[in-house]
Amino acid sequence: MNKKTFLLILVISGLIFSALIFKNGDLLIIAIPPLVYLIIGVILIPADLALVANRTLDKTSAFPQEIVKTSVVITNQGKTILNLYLNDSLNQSLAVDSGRTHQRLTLEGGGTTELEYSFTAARGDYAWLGIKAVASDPFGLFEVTREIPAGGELLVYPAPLNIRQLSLKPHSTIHTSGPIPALLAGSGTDFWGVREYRQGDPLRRINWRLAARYPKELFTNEYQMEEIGDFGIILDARRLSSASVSNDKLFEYSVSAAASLSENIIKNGNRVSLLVFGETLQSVFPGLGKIQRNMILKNLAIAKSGKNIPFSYLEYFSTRLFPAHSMIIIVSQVESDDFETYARLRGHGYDVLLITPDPVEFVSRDIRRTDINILAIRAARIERIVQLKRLSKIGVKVVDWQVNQPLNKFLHSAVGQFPHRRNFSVIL
Amino acid sequence: MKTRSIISGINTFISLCILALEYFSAGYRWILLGFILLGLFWVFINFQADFWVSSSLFLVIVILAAIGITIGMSLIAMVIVCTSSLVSWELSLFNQSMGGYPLIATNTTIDKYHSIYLMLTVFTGMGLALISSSFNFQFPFGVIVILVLISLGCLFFGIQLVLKSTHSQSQIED
Repeated sequence: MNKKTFLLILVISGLIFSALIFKNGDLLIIAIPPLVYLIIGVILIPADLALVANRTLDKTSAFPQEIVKTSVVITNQGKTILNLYLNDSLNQSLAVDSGRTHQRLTLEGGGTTELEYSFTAARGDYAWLGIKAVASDPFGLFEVTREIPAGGELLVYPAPLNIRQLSLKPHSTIHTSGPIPALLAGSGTDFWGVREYRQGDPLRRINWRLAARYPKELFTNEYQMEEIGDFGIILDARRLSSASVSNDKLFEYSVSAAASLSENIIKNGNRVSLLVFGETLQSVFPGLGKIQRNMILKNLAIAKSGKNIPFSYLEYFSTRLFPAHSMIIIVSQVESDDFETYARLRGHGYDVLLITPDPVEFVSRDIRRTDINILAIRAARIERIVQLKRLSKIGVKVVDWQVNQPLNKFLHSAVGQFPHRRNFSVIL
Repeated sequence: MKTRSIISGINTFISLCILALEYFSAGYRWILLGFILLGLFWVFINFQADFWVSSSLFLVIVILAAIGITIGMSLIAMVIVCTSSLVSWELSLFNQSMGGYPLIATNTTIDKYHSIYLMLTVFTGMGLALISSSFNFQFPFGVIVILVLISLGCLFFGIQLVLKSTHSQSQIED
């Protein structure tokens, strides 16, 4: 019973009881119009709701701020519904761009109606189960509510960052043809060296100039083998500070960085694995190609920052996720306790590239400029510099990223040469 | 929507005017001040569309009509007052529920059905009320009480039955 019906019954009962109390039959007579109104409402209650809904989304995956169009076609397979309210409830992260998500109408038997709207969404995984249908008499006194199944799913990937032409030097390569020059002679394009001719070598590889110098011998040109690199991406999803708003915003930047890096690395034919390290642990084992890209993006789309668990827990992850000597790219705000873990990762022979969105700079932009705040920011900045210096000293390549500027710029200035590696470059 | 607002306003105006006239002619001149306040309240409603604002005006008018009857004012006038305030209340709530919806063909249909059933309510209600006013049964008070209690019981039982059946139907379909 809704509040309108309740009020009406209250008025009718009040008039009837007043008629009894004052022994005045005329009071009963003025209760007749509201009573007739109520009775007509009762008579016209919709008997059943035979509604069928069908949802169509113009895409199943999108990027943030990309407009997605959806339409829900509702068909009435029963009798005419005089007063029907349809509402397609939306997640809070969705913003309607045009159209309407709700409608009130009369739907004839066999008739159809359509809720059509477009929206933009923040990163995440969205699912619709159905739409809410409330049928009532023409006066809205008695309502029948149903959830009409109309499923749909949408995956919103992290916002892409423009990362181009990045030189990375993996420790070792996998013996599969790829884009990274290896320390091996093979079937590449860059000249590697010359060796004695062996039976079966193609004639076009014979170095004729050298053969001319040594008349009784033949030499074959060798080319540098190009192989695929092994990369592991760790997204730190721990909630490190109590300032949840800035933490969440910074986390979005981190997710975007991880997504863009993984996408670029895969695009160049390398092998990538992913670990989202937070309250829940999501992992994608090493792989190549579009399927791997989609799996990584899907995991990043649903990544959420959560409870702070010790970073040292990372050491328990199997080497299957991060093969020996692979390059690990960690996207994380740094905490003082994390140093040991970085040291151990380096000790295990991994190349570690740390991309760290600067929380101090990010928070200091919005904070009120009082003396105490200025001092606090200064202290935090000093602490951060010390932490990053310590990490640099153990061989972790650090990209200190101020998120108001493009990551590309910081990556280029910081990711140069890993000191003990050959100067090979990967075009990303 | 504009038409509905105008009709709702006219109905409120009619009910307030009739009440004011009846009270004034009965010698309660002080009540005019109350009606001025009610008029201001009605203007306020047009700016502040809310269920309880509309409903409180409806309640006040019904209570004033009931008091009017007990102090011997015209029954027909009070029936008109009650009916027009009911129409005004219904139209203002319907306006609120339809607020913001695009004017599409299906919406005009809902408007059409709503108007038809509201007119049916008005004419049936007023007709029945006027017919009832011509009867003058001289039942003893005890019998009236029993009849009232039975009718009220039937009303509540009927509504409960309807609500239960719609609720169980929704559970079955779920």
